[in-house]
Amino acid sequence: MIRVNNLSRIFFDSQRGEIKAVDSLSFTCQAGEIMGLLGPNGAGKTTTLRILATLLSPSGGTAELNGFDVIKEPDKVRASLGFLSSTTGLYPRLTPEEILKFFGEINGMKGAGLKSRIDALIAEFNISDYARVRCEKLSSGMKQKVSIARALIQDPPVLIFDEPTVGLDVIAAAQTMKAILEYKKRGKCILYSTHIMSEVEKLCDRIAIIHKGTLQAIGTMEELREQTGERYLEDIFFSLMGTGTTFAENGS
Amino acid sequence: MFWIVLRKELLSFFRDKNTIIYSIILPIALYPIIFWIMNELMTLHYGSLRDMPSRIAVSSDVPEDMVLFLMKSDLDLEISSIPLMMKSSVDPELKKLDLDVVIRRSGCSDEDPVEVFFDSSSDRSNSARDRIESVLTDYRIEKLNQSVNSILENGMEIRLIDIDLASQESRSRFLLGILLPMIVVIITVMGGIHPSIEVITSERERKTLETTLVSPVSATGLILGKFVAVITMSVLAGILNIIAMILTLRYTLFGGASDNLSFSIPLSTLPLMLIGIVLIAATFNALMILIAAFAKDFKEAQSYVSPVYAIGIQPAVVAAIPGIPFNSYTALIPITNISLFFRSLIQGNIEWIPTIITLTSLLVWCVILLTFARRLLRRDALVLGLEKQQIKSIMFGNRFKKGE
Ligand SMILES: Nc1ncnc2c1ncn2[C@@H]1O[C@H](COP(=O)(O)OP(=O)(O)O)[C@@H](O)[C@H]1O
Ligand SMILES: [Mg+2]
Repeated sequence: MIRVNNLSRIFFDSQRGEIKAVDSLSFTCQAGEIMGLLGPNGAGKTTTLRILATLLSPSGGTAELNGFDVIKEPDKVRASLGFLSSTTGLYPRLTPEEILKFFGEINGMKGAGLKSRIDALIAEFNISDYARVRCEKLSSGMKQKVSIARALIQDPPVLIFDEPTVGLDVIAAAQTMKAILEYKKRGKCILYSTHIMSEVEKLCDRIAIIHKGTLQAIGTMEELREQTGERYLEDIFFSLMGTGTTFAENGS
Repeated sequence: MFWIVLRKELLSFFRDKNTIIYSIILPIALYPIIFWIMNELMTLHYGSLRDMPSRIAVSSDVPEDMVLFLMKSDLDLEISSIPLMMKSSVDPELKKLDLDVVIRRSGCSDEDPVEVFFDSSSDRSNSARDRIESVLTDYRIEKLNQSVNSILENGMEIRLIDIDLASQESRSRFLLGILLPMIVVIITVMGGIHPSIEVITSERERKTLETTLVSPVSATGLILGKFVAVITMSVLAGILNIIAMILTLRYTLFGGASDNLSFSIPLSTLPLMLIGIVLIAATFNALMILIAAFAKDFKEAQSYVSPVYAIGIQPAVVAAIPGIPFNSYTALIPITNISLFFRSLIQGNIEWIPTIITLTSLLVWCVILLTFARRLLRRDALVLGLEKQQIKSIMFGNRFKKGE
């Protein structure tokens, strides 16, 4: 479903010079699986996911999503993808219903099919009470539900979540994780990036730990335990970082 | 794709208070406000005076036919007769009887002229004096005609009749043709400013741009939809402004009351005017969107856009200077040309060669800017924001091919 092979992305910064945000990264993710991308701030998670979502082009390597190459068939990649991050906001002056309609239409849906899909999502995520209220008036928990529904509008086979719980209260965060687990059961291929270890432990089938753009380790919790000889994810993580206690920000 | 984006953008605009104010309310309300203020000011100065009758006292030694002539006058004169009086008693009498003017004979013989006493410190007395002067001038001409006619054998009348060849319309068109094109250009451009910051900069700031970009929207459809939405608001502002202008001129006190400003815009020029508005809106707003796209947030975008707007409309003001011709050369100066073009339309003399040059040059600018925008506003640039390096790479080739 997702196949990332030797992926790299270099940024040029006037002050910092050349930054290898992603460096020869390879991993895969299957249908019905949640793959966790764990790494400190600046590890290159967002850059990787943006390349997968065709927002950025890679400097090297290849990436495939639902069988489509991110460079050669970006439209088909985006059509197969539901993307949710802390930087995918909702149009403040549109209502949830209008937003779902807009993204449905962008995905080529229309008429009765689109209408019933919108109604189903509104029912599933309990949005009906505020489906016709402008998003600027909604709480962050309400917005999050609408955002998840928005990412699911065309029922895509692949879902990518980039730190989706940032800025949410505990309840909204828990609801988000519940929805993600539910969609895993429905056979979606899910990529979940975070720097919060407890989220990874709760959600993910496999974990890829990245640091400074490179893959440090990949596998199930069991496999990671075997590799490092540590029991808890936190200890596994620090032993892989090789720092002991502190996160070193990439490039600083 | 284009239509879906366009519809969404317009829906958003029509729910935005600022956009409504600048693109709809201001263009409509501007003329009524301007004309209402002008009207108020004019009434304040002259209106009250014009409506008041002049109180005139005529001494009994003034010739009877002259008094009759005064009484027949269309002007609002309140005439009362007073007995003969000494020169020295005129002033106290004027004050006591609350008069504006006193008319009397300066001596006892028929050759002695008629004297008009007035108070130059009083507006009302001045106005009464002016009225009397005009009536007495007419009286003199009448007398002159009578005596000339009696001399001429056949009683042929010699009279001067003014026939002004400049029709009232063309005179008022000339006056308003200088002011109005400038206002239309300014309002049209202003109607697009807020939307042009809104479509990219504000979307990036509110983090909605990325949401759209991860969906299967085509970049061309997206940008075109956004541009057309902005241009629509700008054109809407321009059209509403013209309609408000026409209606204000036709139906307000200002348009009706001052006869020599009766004004109408030739309806046949409206299609051309519309084309002009669309082109100026497209060109100017394409520029505005591009400039705003470099800003991180709304405030920064405003600080970029405001000076460009302020400088950009100066050429429109230049066109309001009377005497600047609309010819093949001035038709090449951006903004000035469109102002002059509107001027020629309002004044009702369409000149085709400069018109074609103006419209073509605007179209060329528009295409250049849109092409530039399409190259600049790629998916990654929209997400990350524009940086100097990106303009460089577009203008001088992509040095960092790998990184883009
Ligand atoms: N547009 C950019 N220009 C320059 N450097 C960038 C840009 N985007 C990200 N980076 C750098 O790339 C590295 C990885 O960033 P990112 O992918 O956002 O990490 P994460 O999401 O894991 O926190 C960081 O060092 C960051 O500063
Ligand atoms: Mg990140």
